[in-house]
Amino acid sequence: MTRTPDETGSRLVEAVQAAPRSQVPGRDLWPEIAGQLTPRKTGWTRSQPLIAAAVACLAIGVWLVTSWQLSPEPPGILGRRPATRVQSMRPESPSMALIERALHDPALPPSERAVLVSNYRILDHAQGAIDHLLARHPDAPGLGGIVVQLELARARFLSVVEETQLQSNPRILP
Amino acid sequence: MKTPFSPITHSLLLGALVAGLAGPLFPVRAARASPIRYILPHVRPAPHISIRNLAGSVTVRGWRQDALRITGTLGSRREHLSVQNRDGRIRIRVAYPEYAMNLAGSHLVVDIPAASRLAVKTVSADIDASRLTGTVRLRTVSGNVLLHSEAHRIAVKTVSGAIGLYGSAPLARTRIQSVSGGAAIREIQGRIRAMSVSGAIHLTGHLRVIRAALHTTSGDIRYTGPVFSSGRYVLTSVSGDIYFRTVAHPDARFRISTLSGSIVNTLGPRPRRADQYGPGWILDFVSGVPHAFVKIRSLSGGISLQKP
Repeated sequence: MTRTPDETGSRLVEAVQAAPRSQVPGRDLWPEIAGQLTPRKTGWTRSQPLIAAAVACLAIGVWLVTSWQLSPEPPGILGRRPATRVQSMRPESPSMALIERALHDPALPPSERAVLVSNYRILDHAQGAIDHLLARHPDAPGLGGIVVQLELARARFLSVVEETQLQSNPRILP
Repeated sequence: MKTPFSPITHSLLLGALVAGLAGPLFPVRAARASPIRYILPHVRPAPHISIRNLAGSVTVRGWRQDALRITGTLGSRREHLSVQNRDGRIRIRVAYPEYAMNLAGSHLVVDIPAASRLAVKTVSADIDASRLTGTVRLRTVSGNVLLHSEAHRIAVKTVSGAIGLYGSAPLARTRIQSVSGGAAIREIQGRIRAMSVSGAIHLTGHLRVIRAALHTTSGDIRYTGPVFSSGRYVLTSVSGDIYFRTVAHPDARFRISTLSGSIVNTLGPRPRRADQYGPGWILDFVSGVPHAFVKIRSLSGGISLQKP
């Protein structure tokens, strides 16, 4: 039997209206969906304290370097104390201060300066050995004579350094 | 054809080749050394003579004439010789222009009366003096010093130059001062005082020394010679080694000590501990009749007394 277009359209409308509005799945689909989602980050993680410590160390290091570079006093010949201060093991040694100042003279030829600095270190090392021995064995026999000789050697060295300064000036020698 | 060189390298090589071929056609004008000839015909028999030269060399020869002669060469036209003679004092100077660099150096040869009172001062010029009988003072910074003489007063001072000293008058007084230059002293007589920081001090040959004071900080000291009646010999070092070699049976008293070094004695007894609980070795003994006195002291250097 053939239906008219009006009869077909009304049947379709009735079928659509009768269709269910929702459908419950046959099983729980949420576990599969949850496993594909990335966890949301909240609060401190494991690496954040390490990063904070590294940043703090860097800041402290920068502060230390800049404070050292801005220091007005350069290291002395022996690299221990500033050049304007006496570098002797004995604080009241004016000869050592004079020697330090003379060795910093830019007019001193490099070859002579190298020889004098190396011998200055020998004298300083000898003084250190004597001071060390005196501290441990103040009654060590024969030390007085050695101390006297070293003081004389240092005084002679000072006169040599100053003479070398004068003689290294490329003019008529006095 | 493809070459391994880039265009820039090609250009540089070609330029170098052209410069090398054209060089002899356009020589660079080099500073010429000027010969020196100067004579002072009449001087006192024992004048004061002082010589100053920065670089090059100074050779001084004693002769029997009462005259002074200077020969040699000036390093360049920028240097000139200045000679002043006033009241028996003769001053010889090589003058350099102010702020001079890369000095060629002048080489002076000066003949002077043998009994002159000589003083030579240089910076890097070597000093060679011979046949002198008066007083000799030689000072240099880095030049080497060689002295053959019978002078009765000798004073040599260097920073890094080496010192060679041969001979002296009987009962001469010799003073050597060095920082790092070594000193080799032979056949001298009389009294000697030698001091050095790191340079070695060696006394050998036919020594007739009655007083010796030899001091170093780290340089070695070697004395090879006899000890004389009423002689006094003092050798000290902080860390250098000391070698004292004398006749097999010297007539002397020996006082040897070291704080942390060692003592080796082939002339007599062995050293003993300075203190039961502290550091140091002592050697105190008499050999034969104690006419002479030998004192050797070190902080950490080794000490060796040896027979010939």
